[in-house]
Amino acid sequence: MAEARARLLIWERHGIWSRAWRSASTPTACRVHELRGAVEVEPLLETARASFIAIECDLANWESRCHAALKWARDYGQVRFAMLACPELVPLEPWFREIGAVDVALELRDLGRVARLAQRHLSRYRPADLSPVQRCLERWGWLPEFKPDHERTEWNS
Amino acid sequence: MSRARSNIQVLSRLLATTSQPVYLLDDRRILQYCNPALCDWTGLDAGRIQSARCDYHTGVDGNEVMRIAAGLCPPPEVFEVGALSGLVGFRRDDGSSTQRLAHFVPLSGADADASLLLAIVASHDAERKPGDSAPSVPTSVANQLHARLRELRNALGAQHRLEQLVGESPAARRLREQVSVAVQTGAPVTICGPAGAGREHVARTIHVARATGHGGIIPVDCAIVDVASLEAALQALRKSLSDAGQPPAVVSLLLLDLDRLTSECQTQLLRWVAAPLPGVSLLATAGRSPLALARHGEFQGALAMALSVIEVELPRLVDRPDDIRLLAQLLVEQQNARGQRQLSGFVPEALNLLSAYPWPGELDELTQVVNEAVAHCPGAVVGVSDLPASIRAWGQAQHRLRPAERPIKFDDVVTELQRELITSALARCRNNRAKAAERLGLSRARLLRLIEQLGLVAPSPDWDPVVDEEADSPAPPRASNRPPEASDSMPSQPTTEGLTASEARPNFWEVDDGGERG
Repeated sequence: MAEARARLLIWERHGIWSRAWRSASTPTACRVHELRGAVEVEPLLETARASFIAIECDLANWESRCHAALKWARDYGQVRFAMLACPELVPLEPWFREIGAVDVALELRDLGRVARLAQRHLSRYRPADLSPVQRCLERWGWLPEFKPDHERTEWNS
Repeated sequence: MSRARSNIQVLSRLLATTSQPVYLLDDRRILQYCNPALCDWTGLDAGRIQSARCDYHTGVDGNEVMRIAAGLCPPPEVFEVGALSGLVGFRRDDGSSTQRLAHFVPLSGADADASLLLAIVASHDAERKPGDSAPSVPTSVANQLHARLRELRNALGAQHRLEQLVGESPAARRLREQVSVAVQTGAPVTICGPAGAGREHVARTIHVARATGHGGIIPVDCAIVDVASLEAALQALRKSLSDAGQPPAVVSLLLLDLDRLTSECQTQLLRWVAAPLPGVSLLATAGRSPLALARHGEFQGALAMALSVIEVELPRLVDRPDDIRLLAQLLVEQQNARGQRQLSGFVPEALNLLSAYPWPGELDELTQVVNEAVAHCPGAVVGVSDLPASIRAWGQAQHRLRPAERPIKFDDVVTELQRELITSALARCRNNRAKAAERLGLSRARLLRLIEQLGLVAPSPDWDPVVDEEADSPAPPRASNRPPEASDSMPSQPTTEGLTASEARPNFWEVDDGGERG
């Protein structure tokens, strides 16, 4: 099996968790790919099958998010995911863990714990398969950043 | 007196002939009466279902009566708020699930303390509109969550059944026997085997199959967990245990990659294991046996002994090539069950190739390969040409010599890097060479010299602005000569030669692997 590549993906609607994640991370931490829908996550998993996905969910979309997470966990055995849940979903925390979430952040202050887990997971795998030139550019943050597309329809929501 | 007897007879006749399931629960949620329609619906005799206690939980259970009784349980608030409606349902043994709308009516007896609950269930399953995740029922948010959780848990549990552990080889038979013993004893189990061999699947199968377990399962990835995360997981476990109800509820703690647990976490876990909560079942997976590691002083012996009362050894795929055919067929049929396309299986040549392949990624890799093959297969049978290129290349490589590896050209890599850095800096600085030089930490004269040496031309004004976050002006359209990007962000731009940018540009780290999968 080809060696797995890993990225840090955050799937959320508004960028709140991503901003908090970036501020909670050290400068040498992995780059955060901020994504707005499952359709944006899938292609990245194809090229980085050991990615760590942080999935935001709320009362309206938790079920579709769970289905997506289960599907990715099934299709990409090395993928790990964590749920970034709203306070109303506190009763579902055991369920999120049951389907394979390595951690559940119920508020922003839990994010540091999740970020440390993500960092440890990603450190087990080589970063995305970039050329040496791309690797240098990414190291300095010169590669095009992901620009989340707010116009896109969110999958299943 | 005779009139009363007559009324009872009429009522009995009505309840016996109606197609609507009706049942009666007492205040301890014990099923005191059910009519024949309920027996028909559940498939259980009245003698088996009556006197079963209906607990409000969504756990997957190997015990059929407990599982169905849990599915018939009304929302707990019914005794407080009065009559209400809700969904009742359960998963059948064949994996299908059924869900119906029920009306619950509390009945108070002459004795104020005693109360009964009458449940009248619809005669047909609740209808769903296409795209609806759940039948629409006017219930509270908590009840809706409960109903959906029950369905999801049932679906998840159906994937982890003993029948899924297929194989005819002696190793596969031994695995099934070990799993059966583990299910019956309820003792802590460690599943040892190579990564990707389905260790977690086997552990979840044991959890689902344990007859007394109707709680959840809390997995912990020991390879990445730290003390804080482990504590959070244990808290979730306690919460899951309290949600599951009274004993004999069992919640499983599943420790994944136990052999990679840090020593601090081992100490914390040992403290917890020394005084475990009642109703917690311990399951673990490991690449190397914790007991063997403990013998070499690489793992805490007490913890290893506490968690490895039973060790289940998972065989490698390469050691049971005959099973690969069965597993590949099983995976195709699982795909059939999921999608609309129906495939019958593989042609013999493809099966031979799959059986001969060494499968370093074990079952995970086989699953990935079969899924890709099914996706690419145009017909009803998967052929060799439908298999991923890596597998076909491996097959061909068995018949030819390994080609020489291509060396990395250091000077070319450095030149290319210089070119990219300078071009990007110029683009960011709108061709302002002084600013570009400052950005690169070079003197302007040296930058000009490098531009000349590398034969760079000034970037066109419509240079890709995606990277230019400091630009004040609106972003012009993207040009085709943008720098090579991570393949993750967007598709590669075609060049004039008809190649993608990544194909036209040599990837200096790309080394011919000689046809072998890496």
